[in-house]
Amino acid sequence: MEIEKNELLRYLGWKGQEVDEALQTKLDDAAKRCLAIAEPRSVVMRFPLHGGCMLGDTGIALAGDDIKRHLAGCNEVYLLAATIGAAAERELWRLSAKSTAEALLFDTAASCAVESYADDICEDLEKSCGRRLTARFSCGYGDFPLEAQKDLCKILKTDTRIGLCCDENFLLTPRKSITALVGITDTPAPEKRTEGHGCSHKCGGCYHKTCAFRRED
Amino acid sequence: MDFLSFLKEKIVVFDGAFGTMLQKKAKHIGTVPELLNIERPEIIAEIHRAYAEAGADVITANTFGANEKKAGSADLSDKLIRAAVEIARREAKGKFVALDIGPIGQLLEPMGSLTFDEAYAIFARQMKAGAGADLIIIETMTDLAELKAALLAARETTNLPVLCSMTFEQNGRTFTGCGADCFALTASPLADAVGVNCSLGPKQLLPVVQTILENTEKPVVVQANAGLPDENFNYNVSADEFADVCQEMLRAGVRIIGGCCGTTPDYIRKLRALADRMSPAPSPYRRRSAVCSATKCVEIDGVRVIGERINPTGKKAMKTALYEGNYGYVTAQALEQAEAGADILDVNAGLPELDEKAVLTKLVKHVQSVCDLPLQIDCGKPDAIEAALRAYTGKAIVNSVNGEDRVLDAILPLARKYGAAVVGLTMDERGIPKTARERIKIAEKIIARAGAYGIPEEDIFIDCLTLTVSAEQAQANETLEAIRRIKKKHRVKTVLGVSNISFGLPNRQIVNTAFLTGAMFAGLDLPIVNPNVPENMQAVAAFNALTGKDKNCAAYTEKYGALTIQTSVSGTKAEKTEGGSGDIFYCIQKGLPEAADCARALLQTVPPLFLIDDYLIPALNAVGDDYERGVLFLPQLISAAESAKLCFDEVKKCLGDSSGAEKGKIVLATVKGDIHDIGKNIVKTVLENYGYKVIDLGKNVPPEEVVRVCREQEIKLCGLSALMTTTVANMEETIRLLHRECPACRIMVGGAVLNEAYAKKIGADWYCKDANADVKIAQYIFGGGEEVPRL
Repeated sequence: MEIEKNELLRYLGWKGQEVDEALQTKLDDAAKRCLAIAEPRSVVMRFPLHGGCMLGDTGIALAGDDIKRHLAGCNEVYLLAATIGAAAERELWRLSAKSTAEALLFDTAASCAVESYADDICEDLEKSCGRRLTARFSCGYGDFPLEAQKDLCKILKTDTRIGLCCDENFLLTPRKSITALVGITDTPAPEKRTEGHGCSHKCGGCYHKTCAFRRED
Repeated sequence: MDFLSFLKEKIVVFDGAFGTMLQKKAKHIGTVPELLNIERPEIIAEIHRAYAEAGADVITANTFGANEKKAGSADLSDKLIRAAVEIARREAKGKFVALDIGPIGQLLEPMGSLTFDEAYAIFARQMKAGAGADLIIIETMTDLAELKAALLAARETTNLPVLCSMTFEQNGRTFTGCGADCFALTASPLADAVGVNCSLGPKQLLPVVQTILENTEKPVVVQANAGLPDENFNYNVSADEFADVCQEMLRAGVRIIGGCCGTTPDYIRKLRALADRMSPAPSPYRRRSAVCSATKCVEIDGVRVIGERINPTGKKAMKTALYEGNYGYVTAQALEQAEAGADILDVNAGLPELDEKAVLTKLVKHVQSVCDLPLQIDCGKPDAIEAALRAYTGKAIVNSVNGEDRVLDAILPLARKYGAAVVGLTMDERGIPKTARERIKIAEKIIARAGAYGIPEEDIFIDCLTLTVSAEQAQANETLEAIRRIKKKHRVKTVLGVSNISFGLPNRQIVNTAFLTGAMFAGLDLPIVNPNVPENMQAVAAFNALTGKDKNCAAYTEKYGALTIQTSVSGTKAEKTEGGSGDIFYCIQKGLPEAADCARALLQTVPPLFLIDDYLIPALNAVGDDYERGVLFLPQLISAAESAKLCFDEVKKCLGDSSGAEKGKIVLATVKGDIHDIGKNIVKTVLENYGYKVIDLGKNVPPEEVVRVCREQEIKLCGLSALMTTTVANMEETIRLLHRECPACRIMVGGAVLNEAYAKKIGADWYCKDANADVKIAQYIFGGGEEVPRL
């Protein structure tokens, strides 16, 4: 898990503006503090994928066309959940009461941290399973509904295993957390995972037109 | 024999894992394993039977996740629980049946959006449905607030014995950061047994078990996993190894033993054999004076400072903040005191015209969401005290009772029920006695009455009361003498508000420091002071050095070694050095704290309101324009806003009354169901620094609350934020209610999933694409800006 400087800047909406020493120090401090406080935990399960969308024998069918397209050709998937924990969340509340500038930087650093952590997990899985993995695909990407989050958490028992819950509005708590599906495939991944934001920035096809991380190119 | 009598005499053996056994027997379990209670009761019965035959004294019904949130409905939850208890009863064959209560599966506020009352109601329904059991076990909890809701629900809806356990990690904390000591202190008063389950293998749990044993007078329960799981959730500790470590635990004083994930009837058979040949060992518990939050335990084994700032009495800004519901101000005060070195914070909402019960509860919630210090609930009204004690997660202090029977009998039962420590003022209906002897008499009455209610001396903090030395000179010594004598005779701790001593005298801090020092040498444990006044904390540090509490004066040296102490008698923080150079525009644009120095210098020649209109606003406008043009990006905009805030603070100081500097009142809220509030906080910072008064209602705010505040305060502009598609519906509902109830109030909205079209569709007046857009709208509404066309 790392917090890459360019990622942090990009999340903050940086478009090449001059970053002076004072701001750079603040960015470094936020990243350092976040990594010190983070308690990364994850849970992963491997399932056969039946008919392109049935998750093992859980009785859960993955909804939407985009996830099916993403997992096309995979007969197995990893279901993963990752969080950097409640301590980072508490630090965020503390900073919010103290200074919005510090809270903003820490919040962003925490987002980078959990994305990087999830990338690490996928990398390790790819190594250990000896096969190729697709990019991560999360609830809310494309037409894969946010509502699926609840079932994914239930299957992984994230509440008792890593302290991660899904609330009434299908939001993850603590906030700096990720659930995702990763396809296991024998053929090389059709779309190579790009660095950074877990949706792989296939922005053209995404309906979140106002996403803060949307890439114009 | 009932369960508690059985527990008094014997080591109790619980059964082992249910899920592990279920997986062996049923292939398709699904996400609600409790459905099997109805669909395949024979499988459930078979597992119970196996554990009963292995020798378990208690059979745990298959109800762990049968709450309405996980089951999907209250009806189904009720049905599953009743069925489970019935099956367990049938197979227990005369052994005890436990109703099993696991976490709801959603986090409570402030981490999640579930409220304490909602959690309580869910648990209460489970307790009612399972009332046919012999006891209740609440287990695998990770959030102390959720555990407290479950314990209260159990206590208040049934008469059954209640056991509870949390799940700890290797670092001795739960996922939410709750420490084993904090858990034991908080849960013990409400439970019949406390302990740990799941988590880790038995060996890794030993330190946690030891901490719990040392911090509770109640029997301790342990149900460990059979080691740590591999990637397929198989467990690696054999039944023999498991029993060996459990034996060690029983020798250390554990009284109830069982198994969690990975254990089977084989493991329980070994535990049965252990229990049969061992007799209960004495507990290592020793009573001590300590209070805690969920994450921080403060033992009162030396001087501990109680911060007094969250109290509106005589503090205008705090008074205004409480009237307006501006909890941002309150939390900033909490953090400032924590950083200054306070160990405990006093919270007080005693203002006429204020609903003390509601406001005190909110104070408790807000302060504990940003700060991990234990709280002292400063209130005389029993209903408000109880509401605050329910909302507080941890072991609190109640401030206060006195020697009046009426007061003692109203408040002590609350302290007892919730396990709070209590402050006893040495006065009664006749007033404050003049002599130390008489004050001690009242203290002893309080101690005796508290004892009758089951409150030990260690949880009583006696206040010998400070009187003003300029009016009653002999009294200073009487107070100190009373402290000395009460500490000699009893195991109580003493508490004292210090600063009253100097009322009416010049340079009050000189007298305060001397009295504080004298009181600590007399035996004062808990001075209630303003920790932001350096002299107060210096006196405490010096006392600790002088009395050897601070070994080798290490803490003193660390704190003051590199510091040039500037003694001040004004009671405020030392002023920063003057003459920060440069131009105020430059400082604001660069986000430098020196902006405040510039403002101070300018205020020598420029009238305060001119400084705002001719310097601050233009500087902020320039920054805003640069942000819009992409010359600056978000962190730079926010830093600039925070620098400007420092300048505004200087202006306010200069004006004495800030009302003249305020350009208009704006309500901000993150809508119900949404807990992502960083965007709202950014908007708040920017608006405040243009001189607008922002009433920040926080996150997860119900529509009715937004409407209430907008109506009561005749708000003209309200900003709402929502991050997710799923919470925009609540935004729409809030807008609908606002239009109906407050037609004069205009609404601006923002958030990641919104755009102009969507904002228009849900009835908003404006969509804000970024933090700067809000300012343009505010300037239009409150004057000074161009028209911003409505959607």
